[in-house]
Amino acid sequence: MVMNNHFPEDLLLQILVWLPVISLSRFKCACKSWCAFISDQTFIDEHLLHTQSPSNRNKNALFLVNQRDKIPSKHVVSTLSYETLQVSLAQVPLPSLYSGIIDKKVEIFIVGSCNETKVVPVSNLPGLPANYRASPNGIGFGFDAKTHNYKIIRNFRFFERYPNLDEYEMGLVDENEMGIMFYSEVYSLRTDSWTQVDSLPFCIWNACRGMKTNLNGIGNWWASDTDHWEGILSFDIAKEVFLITPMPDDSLIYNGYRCDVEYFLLNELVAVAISWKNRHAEGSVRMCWDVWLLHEYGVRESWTKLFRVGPLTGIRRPLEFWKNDIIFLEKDDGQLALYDVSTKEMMTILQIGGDHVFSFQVISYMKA
Amino acid sequence: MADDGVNTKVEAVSKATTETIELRTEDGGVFDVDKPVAMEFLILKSFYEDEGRVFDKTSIRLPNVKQLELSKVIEYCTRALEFGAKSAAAAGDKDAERMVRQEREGFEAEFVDELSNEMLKELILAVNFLDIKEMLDFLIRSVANRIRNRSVAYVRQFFDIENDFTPQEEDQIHQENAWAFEGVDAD
Repeated sequence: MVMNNHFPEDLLLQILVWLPVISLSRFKCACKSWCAFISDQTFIDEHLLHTQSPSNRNKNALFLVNQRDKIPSKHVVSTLSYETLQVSLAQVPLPSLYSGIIDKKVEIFIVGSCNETKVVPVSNLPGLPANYRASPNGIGFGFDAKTHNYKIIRNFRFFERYPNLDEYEMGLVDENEMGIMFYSEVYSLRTDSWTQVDSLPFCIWNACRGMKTNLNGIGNWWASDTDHWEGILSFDIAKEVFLITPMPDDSLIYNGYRCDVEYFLLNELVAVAISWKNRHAEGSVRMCWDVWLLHEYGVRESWTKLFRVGPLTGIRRPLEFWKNDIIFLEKDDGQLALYDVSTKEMMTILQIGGDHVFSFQVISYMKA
Repeated sequence: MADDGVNTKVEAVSKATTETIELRTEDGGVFDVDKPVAMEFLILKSFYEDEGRVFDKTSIRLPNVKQLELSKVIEYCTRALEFGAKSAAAAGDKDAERMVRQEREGFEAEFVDELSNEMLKELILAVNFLDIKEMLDFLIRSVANRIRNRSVAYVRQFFDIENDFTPQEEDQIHQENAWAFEGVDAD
């Protein structure tokens, strides 16, 4: 395809792969052959490959910071450039329909990089017996590179509606005595439909943190079961199967001292930060987090302990990593801070924080 | 003092290599180019290596290259080699490495700023012909940077593109991608 008389097509391609999606979309208007060229799947693949290559990846990457403000229905999404941490407010206004749910927001923004939001059709959940109720058990969004398809994975727990809801809510009910079913389904953008996939019987904790998907197309959550098992539940987006990896050590299973587990990605591998509270002599509470990295799915021995963050005061939880040893932290006063693990320096970067617990969400994001 | 050592090294390299080759451009320009610089032009390198020739002061005609472009190419490649040597000498010293990197970035920014759009395109074609990978990558990235925030009209002019859309067709594509037209630099 000849694009113009003077400039060879292969050189033009080399220039276009460097351009961000927003420029390319605009330049479709240049002429018919440019429009066809830019819209062509081959070019899109080339562009994605180029953008994701290790040497280029970080130049275009951004962090999305999703904040829930004091006014419950208001979310603010800011972007931080990966290289410079320059803050800017997102260009895409988020549909107000979704303001209540953090993780749904994440999914919408990622799809929204093309400024297209798609209403996903209602799935066909199996008919439930009358005394069962459904509880969402984690949702994730990802890209299947093998088939160039976007997918959503959604899990549910169906359990018997216990006659005495109060007792259940007070944690006085042994879930083992209740009938529980686990159900998972995958939505494919290509087919615009949901299909059931084999589920695994695990509860996803902190589902509002969202599924963390790496570039290899594996989405991850922290999960547990009713038998005091805890670990990583992963979903292979291309193969549509679940994998589980138990946590590094049995001693880390929830007890009175351990507080919380945060999970995120570090260099495409799953990392967890397991926290402890330290009651300091003066009565103030300090938190410590041990960061572990999983090198091989399913292999417990492949966890390595990276380092300990803290003890620190005034920190609610860690969020994401930046450049290996700097970590985003959410502070008790609702601010977003950066902490350098090696130098132990702390710096506040976003002041617009809310009062809510877990009001921040930081996701690394690349436009493609 | 480390700086002096690096500079002395670079000087020694260029003084020791007095071998040059004569390059003639299609518009009558004649250039005596140092061997290390000339060898960056893979088209020349393969010429010498394939033919098994001894590197002597033969004169080579470059049919697709004009004087102005060749002088710019020689300028860039000479500096690139210098930066390469400085970088190698600074290896291990983070501060020195950063200084070399910043110096290089400064030079490259100035180099490209002085180029008109037309010149930039001609340079890319020349460098593509001469097969100089590093400089080609640099020029390509420079073009991408120059056009990324510009309007469609600017890009059409830059690449000599004729708009073959009907007004309605263009309107439709514009609508589909309306979000991409915000914040564009003024022409």
